[in-house]
Amino acid sequence: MTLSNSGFIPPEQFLLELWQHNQGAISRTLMACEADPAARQDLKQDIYLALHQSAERIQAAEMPRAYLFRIVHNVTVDHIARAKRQQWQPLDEDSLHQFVQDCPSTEVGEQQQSQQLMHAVRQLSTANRQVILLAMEDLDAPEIAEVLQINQGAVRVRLNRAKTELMEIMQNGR
Amino acid sequence: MADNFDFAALTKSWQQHPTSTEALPNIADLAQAKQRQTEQKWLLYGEWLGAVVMFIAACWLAFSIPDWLGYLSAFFLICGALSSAYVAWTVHKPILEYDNWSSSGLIQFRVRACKLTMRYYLYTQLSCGALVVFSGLLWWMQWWNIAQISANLLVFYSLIVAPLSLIASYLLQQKKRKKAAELKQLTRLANDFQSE
Repeated sequence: MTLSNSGFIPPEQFLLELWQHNQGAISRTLMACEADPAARQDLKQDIYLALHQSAERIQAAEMPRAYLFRIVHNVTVDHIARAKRQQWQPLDEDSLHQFVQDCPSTEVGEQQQSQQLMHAVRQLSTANRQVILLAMEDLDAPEIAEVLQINQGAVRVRLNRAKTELMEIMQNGR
Repeated sequence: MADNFDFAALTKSWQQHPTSTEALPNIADLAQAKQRQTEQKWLLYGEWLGAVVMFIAACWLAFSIPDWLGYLSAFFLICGALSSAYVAWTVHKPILEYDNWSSSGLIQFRVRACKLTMRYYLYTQLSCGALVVFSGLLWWMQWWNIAQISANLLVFYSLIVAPLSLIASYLLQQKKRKKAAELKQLTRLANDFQSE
């Protein structure tokens, strides 16, 4: 992301540009963490409000994208942690079917891989899912470390473990 | 094992996932989120108001019944007021600021808040139990003529305080069960984050 955070852009404008650059990544992250579209919409609004309230700090941050993803993941984890959802909801068949229908790829193989990947990511443990999602959105190790507030060594360990879990899930077709 | 994994291909596939082309967030989105946040804040203020009422009742008791029973009751209420205010703050605080947390820290905080709330429910249950015992004690003192208990006091404690305490105790037990399920989920999440 090449968004400048040094100039004369007002914080709100900066925030909108940051959001625009990462809109797809935010949507994918929420899709991997919450099955219900209405709840996803609420989460998106909560994230935007949290970003809005931290707009000046985000603009001043060294890694604004990492700051954005920290808020995205904290709001999402808090959503998972709080009492309303006692059980994780896997994607139902209709959602999966819709997902495949919406997929822009014309290759059936790619569609199946997309379907399998989304299904597998949703089954990862929360901590592993976080690090995999960040890595798949092309955040580098320092950025992931900044998002998760852990050191880069721990990022590598967690990422390796998450990849192993993801591979097992995909291979076993769980 | 993970090294044999074509993660680059998966990343590419992941980034091609369709996401609906949505409009950028606007004032309406902010308003809806703010409304949810305001509801949370009102819950906090409501619980603080309850604590203030308890504190005022404690002051009133201490001044209107200046003996050991009055002071004991006032002390009891002040403890209740302070713990109510603290628990409310602990439970609602992180909703107001998400950027100062790591996910792991946030979960740990939720675990501590959940345990604290469970303890708070337990102590409140014990307080309810104490009130029921006190009602029985009044009858016992009246029965054995140990002290002269006014009929109003007996009626008040027997027909209002003791039944309400029993109902509250039952409701608290149900809340404790829900919190126990929540704690189980939170502990599982916390273990996820702690396992490296």
